[in-house]
Amino acid sequence: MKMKNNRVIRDGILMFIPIMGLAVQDAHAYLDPGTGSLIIQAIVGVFLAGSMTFKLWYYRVKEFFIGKSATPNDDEVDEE
Amino acid sequence: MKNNQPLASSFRDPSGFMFMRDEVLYRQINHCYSEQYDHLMNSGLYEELTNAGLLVEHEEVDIPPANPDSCYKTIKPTKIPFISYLYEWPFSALKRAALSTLKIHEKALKYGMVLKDASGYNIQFVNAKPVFIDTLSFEIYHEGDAWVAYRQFCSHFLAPLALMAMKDIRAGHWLRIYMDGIPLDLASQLLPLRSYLKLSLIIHIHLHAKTQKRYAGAVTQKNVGESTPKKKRVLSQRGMLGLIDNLRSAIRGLKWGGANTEWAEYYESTNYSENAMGEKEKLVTHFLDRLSPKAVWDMGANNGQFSRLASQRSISTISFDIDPTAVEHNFLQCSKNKDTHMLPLILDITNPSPAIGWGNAERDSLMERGPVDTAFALALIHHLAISNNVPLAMVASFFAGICENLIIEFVPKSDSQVRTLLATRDDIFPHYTPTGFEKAFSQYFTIKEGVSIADSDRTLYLMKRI
Repeated sequence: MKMKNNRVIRDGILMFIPIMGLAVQDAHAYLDPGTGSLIIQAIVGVFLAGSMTFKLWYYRVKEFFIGKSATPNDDEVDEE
Repeated sequence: MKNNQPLASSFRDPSGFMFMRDEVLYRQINHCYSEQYDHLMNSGLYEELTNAGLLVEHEEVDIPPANPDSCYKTIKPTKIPFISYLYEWPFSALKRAALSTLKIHEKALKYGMVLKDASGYNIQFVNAKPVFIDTLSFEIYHEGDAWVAYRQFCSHFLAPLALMAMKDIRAGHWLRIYMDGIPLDLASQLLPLRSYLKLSLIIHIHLHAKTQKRYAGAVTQKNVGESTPKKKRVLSQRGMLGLIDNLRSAIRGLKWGGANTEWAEYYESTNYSENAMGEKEKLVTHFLDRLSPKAVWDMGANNGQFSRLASQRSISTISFDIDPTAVEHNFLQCSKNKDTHMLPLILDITNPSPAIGWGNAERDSLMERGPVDTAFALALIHHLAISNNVPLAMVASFFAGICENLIIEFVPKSDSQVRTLLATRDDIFPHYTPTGFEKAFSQYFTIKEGVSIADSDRTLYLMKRI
């Protein structure tokens, strides 16, 4: 019963995701992005944009108090 | 390889193709990609990426085009000394390649472009750093567009790294079978329950796999080819940056604990005395000084102790070993030492990387990437001839196929390592003797020197291919 409810909720959420006309890069996007991969970006995009905004504000506030750039150095070497 | 013909791996993207002419590699850019190429070159993006060492440099050349009908420009990229593939990389190399891909995508966005593909095959390690080699992978960005290469990035990088970190380091080998990355539904099934504790893995692997399955048969307007669909925004630019940031956190958060394997502590548990090890290093150094090779392949390098003798002499060195743990240790050691001449790679010599992909020709086999100036085969012969029953003549033939010069160690039956190998099986190797070894190798090589290693029963040989 619980599993059925979960499925109903999941399908309920997914049915509101408009899959027709999702924006993808034009012309030379020779890869098939896959509909599912577009949908997931549409689902989590708003959340990720929000978290990114929060993160940027957090760094700005930190920068204000610390008085120097608190954002990670964009050119830092990604090494362990 | 025929002049002007596209390389066997260069057929998917209509934007252009790679071709060889007189043993020089070129890339033709087709007219249909002119706008994107000009944007890359004129916006400052190319300059920023090449200055940071993230993108391969190229020069535009004025030569007769390979295909005049479609040619916009021809470029000559800087030559990559050795091509390696993601299924040969240790965990940290794959991780670094993933982070590099994300960084390029993020920088591109600043200049109004995005990466239109995120294949692990677009990265090569040059001077120990990941470099993006596909100049035609950049597309003009339009606000609202989804990232077309998102699935590819997850399959080529995130899924294998998560499996290697959370399940088993050997999962990296599956990239050889799944050339377009590990299917996300497979990764989702195999990842342990604790992967659900990481939000980024829930999103990019578990939920991603579920939506792929849920919408497997669905089509978008783009799919059905309507000419002027009013496109809906999938992802704001802030959302795209958030996606990159979240993927980067996911990749950075994956750590591999590093269980000890048979080989990872090999040099700590070897039967060599300190004196014998020192003698062996001196001999290898002496042979290297005599040869002055441009490049070395160390076959069965373990943690790269002897490979370093070559790389410290600024010799381009590939340090192969079968054990992902040993190779990972080696890679991290190279990073720590800032050794830019060495690349540790995973390779099973008894089953080396084959040619794979369309027509078995997209990715070269190990043999096709040789021969190399000089190969090392140190403390290896007994594993090939006794553990794997490879006749000595076949071992000799293999090495003759990959190198001009060979520095090889013969480990006799009196050695404790060989005695251990023979302890639980019949000795069916009557020809495994110093004489049998020299006879087998003399069919393919001239033996220049053979020196006993002091304080051991072993002999080190320097050979030149006939």
